[in-house]
Amino acid sequence: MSEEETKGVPRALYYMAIDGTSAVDSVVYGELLERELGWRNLVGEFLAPAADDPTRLHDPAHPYLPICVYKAKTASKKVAVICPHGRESAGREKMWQKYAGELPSEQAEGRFESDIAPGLVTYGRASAAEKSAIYMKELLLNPSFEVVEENGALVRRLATAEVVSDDREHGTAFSADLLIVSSHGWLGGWMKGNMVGAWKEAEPESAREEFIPFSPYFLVGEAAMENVRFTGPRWIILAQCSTLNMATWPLWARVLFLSDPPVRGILAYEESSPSAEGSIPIARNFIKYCKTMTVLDAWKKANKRIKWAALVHKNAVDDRLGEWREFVDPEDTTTDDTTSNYRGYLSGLKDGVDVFDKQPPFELVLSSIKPRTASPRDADSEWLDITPDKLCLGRAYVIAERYGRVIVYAPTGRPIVSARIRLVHIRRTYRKQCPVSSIFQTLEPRDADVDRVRVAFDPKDKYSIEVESLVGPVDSLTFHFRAATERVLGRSVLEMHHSYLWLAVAVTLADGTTLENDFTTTGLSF
Amino acid sequence: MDVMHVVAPTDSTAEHNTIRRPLTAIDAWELGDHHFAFDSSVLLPSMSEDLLVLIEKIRAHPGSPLAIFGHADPVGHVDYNKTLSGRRASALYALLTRRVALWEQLSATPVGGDHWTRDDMAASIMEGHLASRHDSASPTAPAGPLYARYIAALGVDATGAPFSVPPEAFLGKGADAHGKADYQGCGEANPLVMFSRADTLRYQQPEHRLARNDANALNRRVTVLFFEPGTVYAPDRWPCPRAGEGVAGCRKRYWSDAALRAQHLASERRYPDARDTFQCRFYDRLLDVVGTRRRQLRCQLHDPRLQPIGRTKVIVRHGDAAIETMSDSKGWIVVTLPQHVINVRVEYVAPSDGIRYHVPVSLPALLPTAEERYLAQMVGLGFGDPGEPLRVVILRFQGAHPELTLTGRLDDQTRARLDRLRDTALTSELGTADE
Repeated sequence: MSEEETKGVPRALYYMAIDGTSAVDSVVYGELLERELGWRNLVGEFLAPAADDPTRLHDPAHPYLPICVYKAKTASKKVAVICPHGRESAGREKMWQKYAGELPSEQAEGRFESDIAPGLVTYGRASAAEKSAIYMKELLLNPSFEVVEENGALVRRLATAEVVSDDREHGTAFSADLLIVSSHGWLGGWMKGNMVGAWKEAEPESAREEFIPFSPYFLVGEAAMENVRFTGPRWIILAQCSTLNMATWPLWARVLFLSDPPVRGILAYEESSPSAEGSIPIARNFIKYCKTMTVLDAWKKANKRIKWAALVHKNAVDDRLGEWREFVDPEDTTTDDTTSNYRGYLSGLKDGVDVFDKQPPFELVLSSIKPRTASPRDADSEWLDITPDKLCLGRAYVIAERYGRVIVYAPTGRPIVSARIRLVHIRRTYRKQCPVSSIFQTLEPRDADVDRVRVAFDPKDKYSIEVESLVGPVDSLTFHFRAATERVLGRSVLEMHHSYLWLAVAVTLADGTTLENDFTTTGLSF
Repeated sequence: MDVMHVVAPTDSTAEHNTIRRPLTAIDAWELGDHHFAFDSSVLLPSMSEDLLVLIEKIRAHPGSPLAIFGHADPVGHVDYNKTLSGRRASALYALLTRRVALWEQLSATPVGGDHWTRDDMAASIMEGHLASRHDSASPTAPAGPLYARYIAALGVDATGAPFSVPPEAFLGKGADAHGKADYQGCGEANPLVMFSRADTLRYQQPEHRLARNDANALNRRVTVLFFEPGTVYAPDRWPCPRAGEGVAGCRKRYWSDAALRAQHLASERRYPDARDTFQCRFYDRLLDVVGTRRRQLRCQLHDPRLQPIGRTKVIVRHGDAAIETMSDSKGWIVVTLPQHVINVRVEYVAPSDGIRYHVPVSLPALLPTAEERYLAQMVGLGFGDPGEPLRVVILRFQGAHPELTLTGRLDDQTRARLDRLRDTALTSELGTADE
């Protein structure tokens, strides 16, 4: 060939798949993206196979992380998938069998104590799985591969958040254009993998039983409160239940606001998502429809009869997979009280609505009593506030007979006389709403307020609670509640792992004015 | 470009032949007559938009020396036309180099209709423009003499940042006080259009003078030529007379048939279709390179799965130009491009997926260094975008080839791999996913 001749190939696009269940759907996504569209697997492309196991890729920076190479069923393709709970989430990785950790402090049976859950100690493969789950928080935000210098040599590895932002400027970090996360998800905006099964051959003995890593892969409320951002993916597919819904849209929008490059859209589910097997035809149809439709419309059509959800930047509503290389980054990603750049879509809201992130006109604090405290009257009773970054923790769950507390604060300088609190299950329009009496067995003012506050189930509205000051305008109204018994909760409309209750509050000010706010990210899971 | 050189032995061992590379213009930019005040060298604010194109070209050709050539139409006296074209070239040079003194000199030495201060012509144009940009009371209005403020207002790039060209960036490097080899006027010697005899006779009628002036507008222009990077030309050897000098120096360089070329023939002649409108041999050859020489791009196009896209409609774009062609059965296209074009954007719809792809392609042979040629090859193979740092593109390429050591440098291994990719089918060479 003479020097005048050359070759032309469209710019490479990369995807990354993270899977906390059976990886069959991730493999299909990867296979189709590669076979049909020529996309490239970021992990498979840059990481080398493990020395002791060719079906696994080795990341020197995260040696505990299983990166499994799957053979696709319908083509001679291999698809690398990051599996934080091991291949098929079984936790039976060879490298995990006698996992002893990387640090001297872990050498005794892979002992690991996460600062995320002080006091929680894991051993062996449970430590490896816990570390993998913790690392997902970084990797989801930065689904990137980087080249860094170590001991005078360049090494390839999955990104570490701090390094990526710095190293991207030096041109050595490469991100996935499309991120696919397949796992379990909850309405509070958090995601986890499967329960890891028992394994008799695991060492130490304490690592043989089945377990679920404590740390979620991601909790959007935490990300929003920590002001972190995505750095890389343009579109994200969350093949998991419930994480993207009307309640969590503002939290996602807060994370997307900071993201660089801007995330164009998130495709997910509002309620139950299909199983891993059930996601396979959806993946096939989605890629098929993407050839002729916009990404958003392809998601809608591929998930017909399923409660899908999406959060899409206004400029990306017409994005097509085939135009990916020509995407122009949106200049404005702001979401606040008055500005909305992202639109939220649901199966029941196909045309979408503008998403705002409104500052509440008054404050609400929902707390649960510290475990092992019998009642709020105990001298040492302590309260744990439920904030968006704590929605995955036990304190944010409806636990039978556990006490909770609600404080409604008046707007600054504008005392209140009463409040009406409605318990909303998932969303106002959700067909199965919960009568308050099916969730709480008692409502009572705190001891100091017995003669000052009246709290009761609303006789006119079985879904609401009335709180009233008996001493005129006050700066706050406080009451305690006690969750119903297990038997009563079991008979309620709450569905294990698929229920989330949040509070819609209306306060009446001293001057008769009423202020309302939906505290969608102050709630209780079940 | 292949260039033939004729050499001969010297008379003695103490002497040696030198080969000077022929002067090669690689690009050109033109400023139309309508951007000057009528019969004047005063630049109008309307030139700003065209100036942005010039700035882009200057940035796209780093290291390319420039030279400015003014041109007039054949109406009026030949000496006056030479002078006016030279003054217009001077005015543009002064704007680019921010030599306010040169404008003051043009203003102080009126010639014919080019009288900057008559009726405050220049001042009213400039002040009008400055007033339209800034409230005169505004503290942000530029201060200083009018010409300096006007030059400052015009001389900005697309972002509004000040832009200027140092005298050293011109062919004569500003060495000659009067701009020899930097800027000059060709007068009426090099028209782009020569009217037919019939039109010429018609235009002589007073009622058709306006139409004549309109038709002649093409000939009234100022051209900036870009030469190959590294081109050096000593001003004392430059054949063109200075902007302020007469036509005698020009005539030495005329074609032997210049008188014939200057005649109006039965049909209208337009450059470059007609190659006989320029009387100046030197200028004709400069433009010959820019305007007419071509080279071929042979490129094999693929879809992202590395399959050649056969028998597909392809559009090759460079600047505003678009060439439509078809790929052959193995995805090859062959298009002829102007000599100076290095980078093109190739568009095609891959039959396999129906997606329209836009692929940046460089003509490797035109890139001056091996490093740039390899970078262009990797960009063409989809491992980077034009403008990305070399290191990131290399790492992406090395990452996709597990047998390569990650170095971020164009090491021997990487070069060998790229060399091999030039000569083999991509399908079997790239990617790790296929078994």
